[in-house]
Amino acid sequence: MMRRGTAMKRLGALSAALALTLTLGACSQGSASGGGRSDGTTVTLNGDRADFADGFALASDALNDITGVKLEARDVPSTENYQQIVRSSLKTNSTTDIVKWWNGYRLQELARSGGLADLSNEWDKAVEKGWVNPETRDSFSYDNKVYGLPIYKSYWVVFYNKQVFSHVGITPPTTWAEFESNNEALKSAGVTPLFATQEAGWTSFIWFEEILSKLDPDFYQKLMDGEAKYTDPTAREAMKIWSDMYAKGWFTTPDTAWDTEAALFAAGTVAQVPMGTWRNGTFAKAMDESEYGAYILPTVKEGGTPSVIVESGVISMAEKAPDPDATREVMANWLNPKVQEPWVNEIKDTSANPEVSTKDPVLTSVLDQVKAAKPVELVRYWEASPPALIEGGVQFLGAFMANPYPENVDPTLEKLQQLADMEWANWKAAGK
Amino acid sequence: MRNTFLIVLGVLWLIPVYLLIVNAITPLSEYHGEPLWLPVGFDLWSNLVSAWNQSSLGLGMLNSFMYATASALVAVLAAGLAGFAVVAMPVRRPSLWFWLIYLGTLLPLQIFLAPLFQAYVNTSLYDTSLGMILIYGAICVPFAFFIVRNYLTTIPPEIAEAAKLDGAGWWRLFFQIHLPLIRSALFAAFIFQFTWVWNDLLFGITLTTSPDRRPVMAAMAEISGGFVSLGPPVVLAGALLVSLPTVILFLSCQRFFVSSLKASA
Amino acid sequence: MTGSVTTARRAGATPSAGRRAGSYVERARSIPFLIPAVALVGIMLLVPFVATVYQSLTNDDGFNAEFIGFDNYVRLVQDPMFGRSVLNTVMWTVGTLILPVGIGLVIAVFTSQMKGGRWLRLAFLLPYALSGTATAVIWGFILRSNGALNQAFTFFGAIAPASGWLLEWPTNTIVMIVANTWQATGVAVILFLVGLQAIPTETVEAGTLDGASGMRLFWNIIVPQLKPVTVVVIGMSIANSLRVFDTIWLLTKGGPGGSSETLAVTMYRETFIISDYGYGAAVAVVLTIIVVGASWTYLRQQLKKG
Repeated sequence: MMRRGTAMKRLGALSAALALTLTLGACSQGSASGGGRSDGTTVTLNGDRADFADGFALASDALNDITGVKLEARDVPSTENYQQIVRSSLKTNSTTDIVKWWNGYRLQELARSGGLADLSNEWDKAVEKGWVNPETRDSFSYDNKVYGLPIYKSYWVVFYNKQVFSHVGITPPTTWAEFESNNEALKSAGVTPLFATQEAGWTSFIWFEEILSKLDPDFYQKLMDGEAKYTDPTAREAMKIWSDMYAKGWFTTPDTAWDTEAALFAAGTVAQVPMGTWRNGTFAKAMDESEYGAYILPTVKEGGTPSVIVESGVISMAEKAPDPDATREVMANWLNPKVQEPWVNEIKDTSANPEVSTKDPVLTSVLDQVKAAKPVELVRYWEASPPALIEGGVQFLGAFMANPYPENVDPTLEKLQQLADMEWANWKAAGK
Repeated sequence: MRNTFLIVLGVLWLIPVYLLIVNAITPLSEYHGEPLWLPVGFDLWSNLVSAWNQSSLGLGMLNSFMYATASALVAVLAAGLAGFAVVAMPVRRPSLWFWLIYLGTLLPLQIFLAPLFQAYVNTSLYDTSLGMILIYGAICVPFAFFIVRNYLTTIPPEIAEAAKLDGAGWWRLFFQIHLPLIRSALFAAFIFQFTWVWNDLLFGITLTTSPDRRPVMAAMAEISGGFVSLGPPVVLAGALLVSLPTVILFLSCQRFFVSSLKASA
Repeated sequence: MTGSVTTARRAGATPSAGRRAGSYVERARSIPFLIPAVALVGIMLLVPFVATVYQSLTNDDGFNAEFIGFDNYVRLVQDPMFGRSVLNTVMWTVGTLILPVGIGLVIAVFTSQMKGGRWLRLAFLLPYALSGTATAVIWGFILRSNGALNQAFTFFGAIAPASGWLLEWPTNTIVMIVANTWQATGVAVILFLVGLQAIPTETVEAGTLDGASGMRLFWNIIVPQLKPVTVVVIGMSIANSLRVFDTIWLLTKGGPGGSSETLAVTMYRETFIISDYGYGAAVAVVLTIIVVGASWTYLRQQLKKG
């Protein structure tokens, strides 16, 4: 038993240690916080992608060479918390100069709050220099003004494991029929043909958007814009195809962990993974680039309009940026090939700047396919409709994946349409 | 018979830990997307190094250690004082005070994230150690208070009476009589709160942003999303390393609870 | 000291009862003792909670907020998923009261009576010391369709349930309760151990001399003596079970399709994913009312005796 004297001494020692700790800089802020230095040489950027850190560092060096302004990137390791932080801080003085966000309706939601600065000038100048395709303006705008600049332009493709393909004796499909027979062959060889999961939440829209857009890209666009219904025949047909694919056993189980995707793909347990080309960076670390390739999913019907889902994250400038002048300098030069080249080579994705080429073999092949087929570019599901609709939508799609039976198609589509009705009404009520 | 049942239960209980270790030592090159039951290689060191480098685990652990120790101490002290007041001192409506403090542990923690973030930003407490210690301390108080208060009710009032007859004031009474008596409850409370603060993720992510202020679990979160290409073996190796302090704390403090139990066994 | 514990307990009334009629000056002396705890909890926790209650009466989306009265609550009651959420929450409470508390009690008592018990106990304490990330990754490993549990089934030649442990309700809620039990039992064990310390040796010896052993000793002598600590364990389990979040979020995110959502998960989803802060706040208020109500109902009885 400890004597009371010793107990008191220990208590005293602990309290002293505590007091010392507290006084030692307890009130000082960490080295990476504070809203940027206003000496015009550094702007701060907030994001939720820890894997972009190296890329941002290279971009910062390039920007420094051109403008004398450096880019200091911070990171919030959780996307949900990141969104909450941006919402809480965007209209205050503690916002970072730049925030990384999504395009489409998600950007619009942020823009209509008044928290973002108008970047139309910077966009127009970039268009003049040929640094960005002017036809993509819409997905970066709200109310006809540009509010974000693309940080990459990812194409959604199907990555395939070349070794598995040659082992089974198949080649990337150019028609839907080939796609189906490939899958049959893979299944017979004991390989899971396609990766699909709802474990990460958002991943449940992937096959929905792929099948629907390859079935009828026009309808996809109308559906995303709220001008068509989830209960329309085309949507039903797409869901039936999806359900059919499940019945044939072509997919991984819907609770497969998303972070095992690269390992399963590299090991050849799963032969094909539909993903944006931004996933190339992860795959390139897990395998040698000669071991996998990518193709754009063929249209369901022969002679259908080719299309490809496109995705562009953005960086936006906060209206209350602590250093607006330096930030505009950065924005004016973000799409400069001298900045884009090191940036996209590091993250192993394709740039929104059409002049920037890539040395990556997989990405080059994708760009070649795009150039050859000239597909209609569609905005990814995640950004193509009001966010609340999408968040609810992926839940319903995920539930469908857990029970992908034909009798579940109509109930799922009805729930989706009910949600769409409600959320489109909410979106329109909140303003333009 | 009863002992066999307990031993079997214990073995079952350890299976997840076994899986954790096996998969944490697997070299990344041998990891193919599915969990392993049997070790296929031993590469714990490079997994640890990957985890360490990618997420500044060292700084995170230092920060967490400071936060956990300071907050748990503050909370246990505050809880001890308040528990003593509610049980042993003349207070009108002791249950009101009890509920006022205990309420803190009944509120869902996530609701504090957004309001605290705002408040911290406005008061410049964002990304500071003091800010973290304040919120962690506040969260730890109610449960510590609950434990201490209940334990105090088992102490007979005659002891306090005797001391007061000797002329002891309230402070002396607390520090010299009651505090030593409730040592084990305070200690249990300290261990629980230390572990809770050490394992916290959400407040660390929301209220700090620099590596030199970020607690360890938030630092770990940088490598455990699906976007990062380090596989589960690396994440698990990091998780093992990061759990080491709390494991050691638990194991070494068992003695404290058990020593007096030998008498009743 | 131990000899007088039983007399103190039989004295019945709260120790402070006799002093409640103390003078004002006497009562004021307790203020400095109470201030640290009350200030910390009040400012850091209670004030934000009040802010949340106000927020539940608005349509706050992170940018703009308008007062809309009780609309959020009306919407909540009409929400088809709300009923499922409440049901899951109740399942969690019942499961957490039975499993970790029950198993914890058994382990604490019996390992303190067996030789080498403290080593066996380590197996149960270890999980609580592991981080939430490690636990979620490991239980994900175990429970996914291509995971360790199904691998074990195949190994022993049995057939694994086709749809996966995490994909169907109510199985997913049940297995997550088991996963949570794995971690939560450690806390109960430690608390019961602390409580066992307070049991005087003479009481146990007297019981043994009377011929009680094994289960009778357990039920008739030990368990009643553990009353005060049982109050803590149960009170804490009620509060924790209603707020479980990490396990569910990391294993299923409340899915698929919200089937395994509890109120705490719903609150998080509405606030951080859908960014409907007002609605999320309403769910938080409802959850708090349930937690406080349940705790108050249980503790009210116990506190009087304490």
